[in-house]
Amino acid sequence: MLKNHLRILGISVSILLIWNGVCDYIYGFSAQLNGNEYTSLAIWDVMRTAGGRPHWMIMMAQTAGWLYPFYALSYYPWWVGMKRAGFWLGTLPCLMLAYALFMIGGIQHAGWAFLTVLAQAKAAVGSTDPTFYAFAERTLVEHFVMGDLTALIAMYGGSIWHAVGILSGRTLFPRWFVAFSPLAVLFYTFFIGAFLPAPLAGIVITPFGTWYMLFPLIASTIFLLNRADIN
Amino acid sequence: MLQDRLRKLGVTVAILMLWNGVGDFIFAYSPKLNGAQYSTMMFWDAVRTANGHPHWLVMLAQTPGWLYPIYALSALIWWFGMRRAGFWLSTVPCAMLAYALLMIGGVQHIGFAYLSVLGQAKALVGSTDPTFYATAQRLLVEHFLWGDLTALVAFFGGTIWHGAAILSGRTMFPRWFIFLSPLGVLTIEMVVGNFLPAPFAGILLGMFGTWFMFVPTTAATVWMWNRAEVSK
Repeated sequence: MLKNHLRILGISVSILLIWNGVCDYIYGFSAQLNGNEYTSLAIWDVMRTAGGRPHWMIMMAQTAGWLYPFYALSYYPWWVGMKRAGFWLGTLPCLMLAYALFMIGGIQHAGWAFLTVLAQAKAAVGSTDPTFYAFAERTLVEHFVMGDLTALIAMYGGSIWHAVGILSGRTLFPRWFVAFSPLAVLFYTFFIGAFLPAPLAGIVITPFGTWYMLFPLIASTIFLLNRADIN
Repeated sequence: MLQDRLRKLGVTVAILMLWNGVGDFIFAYSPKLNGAQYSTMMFWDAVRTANGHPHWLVMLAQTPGWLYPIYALSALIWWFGMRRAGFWLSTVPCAMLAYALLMIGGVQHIGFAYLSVLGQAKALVGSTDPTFYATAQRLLVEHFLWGDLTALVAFFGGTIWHGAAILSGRTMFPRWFIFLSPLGVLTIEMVVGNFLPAPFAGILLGMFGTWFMFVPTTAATVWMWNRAEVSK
């Protein structure tokens, strides 16, 4: 019964996560940036203009935000495998990661579009008031960062804590399974991506949020489906 | 055990919801608008300028958005009182309301701040390019409404469905509890608020989202406080 639920959840959420990857590419893919440039201010230029993509496409990129409450279910299999480690090492990190995804849907994935509004308007009708433009841009970014604050803390704090939970050896997952944890996937994405040339760097780094959710979900689901003792 | 947890959950969530009222107050309260004016473009003027509030205060108004995943737990309290009505009359409406709150935290409560960005910038450094200003404002509104679309559908759809479930009489709540349901509270505040003069209308209508969550959560928690059948 539980295995069947996990199978259905793992497959359906993984499929939905692919749409998040499409939207990530719309927001942040650049064919011109290499791996190093993705960690420089050059990526900010891409994000605040959405690479010059049209308004309708940026609207489309927002739609993945609607699915984040479903994406948050991807931590249910992890919790099933970690709950025997107790509240602090099992439940809490999964709750933090779920909280991060609940918030990221609205604030980041639907919210990135707001960062591009001034560039979209400038591309459409021009802008002759640079002081106003700069001030409005700064205000937009400040509201974005403020809104995103708890999500970022929960995402990075939860990722590290989750890895600590796995490394404790008290969960159903073996210690080496930390290699499939959200923290490890995040690390691989940026480490490998940093050495890649354009446009490969963009293909790997841009959807980092999608890989961050997708690979750990697939790994934890497959692991649990092959265990006899999860019920 | 379950009842004790529900009590703690209800009290905690209801207390946290009061902070949402502070955020609503900053974003949408206007002492100048009467009830009827709250459904005109005058209200939009208040939102898009954040009533002239300073930047730090608008940042503060964003912070209740962080708590919406916790507010969404109020649907769980309702679900325990409604589950005996079956999947369609309990799980579906409560899941829709939970989804709405999970999305509203980010797209609405934090997103309201974006709507006032141009107004804030104009108040501080002026704006000499009305064409650019109008285009940027239109784009901001379009992205806000689009991001909010599923939340609004779930909010209104879930509220009506939830009300229908209470009226079915198959839940633990009596039918008259509809007055304390999200649908009842929303209807009462819109009708009553519409006839109130300034500055009282703003207390009801500017903070309608807080009352929408706070009153039903408190009511459901109190109703289930000592009912033995909650645990069955």
